[in-house]
Amino acid sequence: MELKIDRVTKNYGSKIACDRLSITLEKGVYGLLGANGAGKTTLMRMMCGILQPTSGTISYDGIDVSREEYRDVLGYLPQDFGYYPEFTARDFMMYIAALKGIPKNKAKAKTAELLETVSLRGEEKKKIKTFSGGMKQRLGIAQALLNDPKILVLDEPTAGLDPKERIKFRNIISRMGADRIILLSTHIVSDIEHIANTILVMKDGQLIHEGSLEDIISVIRGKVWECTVDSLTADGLSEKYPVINTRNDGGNVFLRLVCDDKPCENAAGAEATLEDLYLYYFSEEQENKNGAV
Amino acid sequence: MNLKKELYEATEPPAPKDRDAFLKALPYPKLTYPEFILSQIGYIRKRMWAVSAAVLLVGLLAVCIFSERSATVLWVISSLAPFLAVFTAAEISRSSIFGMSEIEAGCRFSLSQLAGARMLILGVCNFAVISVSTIISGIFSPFGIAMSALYILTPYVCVCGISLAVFGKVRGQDGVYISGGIALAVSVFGIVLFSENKLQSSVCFANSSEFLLCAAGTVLTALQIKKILSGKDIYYGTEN
Repeated sequence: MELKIDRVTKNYGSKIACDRLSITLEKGVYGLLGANGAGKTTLMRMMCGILQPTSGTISYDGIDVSREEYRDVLGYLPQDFGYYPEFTARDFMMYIAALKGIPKNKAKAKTAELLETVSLRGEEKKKIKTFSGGMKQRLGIAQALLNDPKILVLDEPTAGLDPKERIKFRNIISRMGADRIILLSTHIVSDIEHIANTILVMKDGQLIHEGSLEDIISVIRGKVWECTVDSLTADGLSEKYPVINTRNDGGNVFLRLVCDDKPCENAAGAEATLEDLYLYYFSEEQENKNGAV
Repeated sequence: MNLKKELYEATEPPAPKDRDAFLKALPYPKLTYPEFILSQIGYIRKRMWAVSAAVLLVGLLAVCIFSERSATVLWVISSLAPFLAVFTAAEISRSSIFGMSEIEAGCRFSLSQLAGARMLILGVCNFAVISVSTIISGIFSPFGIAMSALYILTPYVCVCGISLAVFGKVRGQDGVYISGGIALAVSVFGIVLFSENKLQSSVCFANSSEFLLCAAGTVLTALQIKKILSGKDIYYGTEN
């Protein structure tokens, strides 16, 4: 089981969304991290065969992703998806099941099982337009699992889910990752931290990091600091370094920040997390964007 | 002594292990494309069938009301054809109107196969409606089958082609409003321009101009169908 992305590039006019990206995915859960516009959604769409790369190839065990055999083993949850207004949750599942080529009897059983899994049992006869964002998202997750996919691509699957549902979803994904390839992108760093075996970090259409949580975090190990300073110093440090956390602590301000060297006298080193890394990489980019505006 | 029976009674078979998981993992026959097309008939909206039936019923009603051989029968059916076309185009383009394109494109039967299935179902239905309408007009109006076909097909293919192009460019409900407006305009244009008296007196003029218009509409529709079936230039939303 191998999904091979080979020197894939995607251009939108003069904008390069993915830049000669190469990676091979094997069984396991992969977490894709990156700021908005990093090229995550474009990469996922190309992996699902619904967007043609400008150059390069993507194949699964030698099968090109544009082929029906590939889509037969694919489960995909897009970032945003609509629904036909007259559809109930059950209609939606049965419709997607037909599109996945699942016969009616099997689809009925699978729909009941998956609606139970995503806690929508009892809501199956309600129209989707009456659903909350979280319920709609859970329905989206359920449809992606209908064909028991070998490759599961989930774009922001936990958006809109409450903490309890997020944890439940994380557990489902962790279990499923044992015998399939799962790629998920999210801005909720802790989700990736908990379930991804391999973390991929994208920036400007390129993969800048690939590895386990330990490998990835090693980049900023020793660069995360915590300190409590007066508000004037806090303002100065906030302008200078990416601040991960800030809170009022009596008359002073507690800061957690990322920088190469000790930022102030009373700063103490702290254990690095994935969120620290995310901010380390993408706060600079954010600042540049703000500057450009 | 029945050895087989003795052995059966002497040994206890082990309890099934992971039976459910095994059964779930068993491969099952998937739908073929023809089966998939049939499955999609149930997902065509009821209003599409209602519009098709309405066109036929109004045509038949016109025959009953205008019992003499009258151009009104053709005039009525021809003015309804744009609405049949716009409903058909909206049904074919339903995925992009409701933001379902991306989720459907990732399924085994791709978006272009889905559009193809819808086109086939609606094509057969519309062919039946237009054929029956043409025969009714041909018999109950003074123009004959060929002229009737031309007068019904021209507004149909023109609106169909334009609407498919609109749905390909304009996202969401806006495309529905624009296409609906175009269908209404074509229908009113036909009613005003080819009112009964004018129809009676302009057969020669209409023959050539309608033929050209019909040909242009057919080409436009064919180009739009080709574009949809190729699966290219599908818009999924933000590009990042």
